Amino acid sequence: MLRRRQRRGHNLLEAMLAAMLFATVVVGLLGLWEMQFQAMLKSKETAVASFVAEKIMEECVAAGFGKAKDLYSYKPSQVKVDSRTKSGTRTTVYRFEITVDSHPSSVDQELVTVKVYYNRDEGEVDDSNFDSRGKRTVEYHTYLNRNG
Amino acid sequence: MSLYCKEKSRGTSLFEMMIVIAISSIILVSIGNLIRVGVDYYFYSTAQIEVQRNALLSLSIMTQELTGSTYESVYTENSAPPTLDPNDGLLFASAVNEDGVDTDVAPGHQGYPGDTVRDSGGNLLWINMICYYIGEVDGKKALLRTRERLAGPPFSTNPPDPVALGLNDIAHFKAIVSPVGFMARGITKMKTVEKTDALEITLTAEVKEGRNWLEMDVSTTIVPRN
Repeated sequence: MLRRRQRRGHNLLEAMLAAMLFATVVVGLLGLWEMQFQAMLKSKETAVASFVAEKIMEECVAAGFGKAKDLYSYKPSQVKVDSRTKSGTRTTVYRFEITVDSHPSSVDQELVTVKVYYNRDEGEVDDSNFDSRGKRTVEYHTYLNRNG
Repeated sequence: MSLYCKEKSRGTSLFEMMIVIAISSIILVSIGNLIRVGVDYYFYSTAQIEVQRNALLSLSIMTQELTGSTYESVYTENSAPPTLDPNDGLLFASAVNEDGVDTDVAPGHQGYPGDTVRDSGGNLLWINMICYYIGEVDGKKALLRTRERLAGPPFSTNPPDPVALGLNDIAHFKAIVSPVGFMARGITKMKTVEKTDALEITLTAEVKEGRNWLEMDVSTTIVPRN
């Protein structure tokens, strides 16, 4: 009797439990993979947005006091990146704006802010629909002095 | 008892060995494939980042140069006869001195390279025509830049019209041997669309690494404002 019991295989319940455990682990790992992929895409987009913001800020500094606000007169000012791979197409629009505010206590200084908004897979973005979406932003600030 | 002993001393059968080898082979081949895919993807990602950075940097440099130009002096092959490839060149005038220390371009001009050249009245003096085009370097497509100095001094304060000057020929600029600037590799197409007082530029970059490929369009709209 004892010998018969020792050589017994797995019963259905044990097999089902094992399969469920395996499936849970695999699904969890796949979710982790997807999360990592999304995080990688996000960091790539943040890097591009920072690049765009840095270049525009450099141009503002080069233009100097009083001239930064006129740098990009075309609206909407944007850089569009369309990526096509074997897994599909992805579009990210980096829309930017320059705002210039006077310094609260000095007429010889102005605060320049460069804001880059970006969203994935949204195609063309215009003023009417941009704010209603889950946008992400990179923002740079600097003070420009009238005397350079 | 005798049965038990016999069972214990029995070795591995050929069938068992074959199963073990088959399973080991499947696992090893899978791991090998996984490593190969990983290495391929690493090289693909590196190439992708490089090409994306090149495209963005080229677009940024073009934006800076074009904003310093004037809309009247911009020429794209979209306006050329349809026999030409409409999307492989862009031409515009520049008032920036690129010829080293050169005090002859205008009276009172300091002559340093990178200076924007103006006359005594503060008007821009147009001294160069700049051309961006898609060419080939070592058999691979790339974005190239060349320029030609306009006739002068004296240089004109009126924005030069490439058509009136007979310079509306991208092929002429492509034939210039020096100076040719290598802007970015992996850029395979340049598309320009003329809008009212603005120009939309799209650069297409391509990457192929192993079984992975990427085609990327980077575009922006530029207003030549001088």
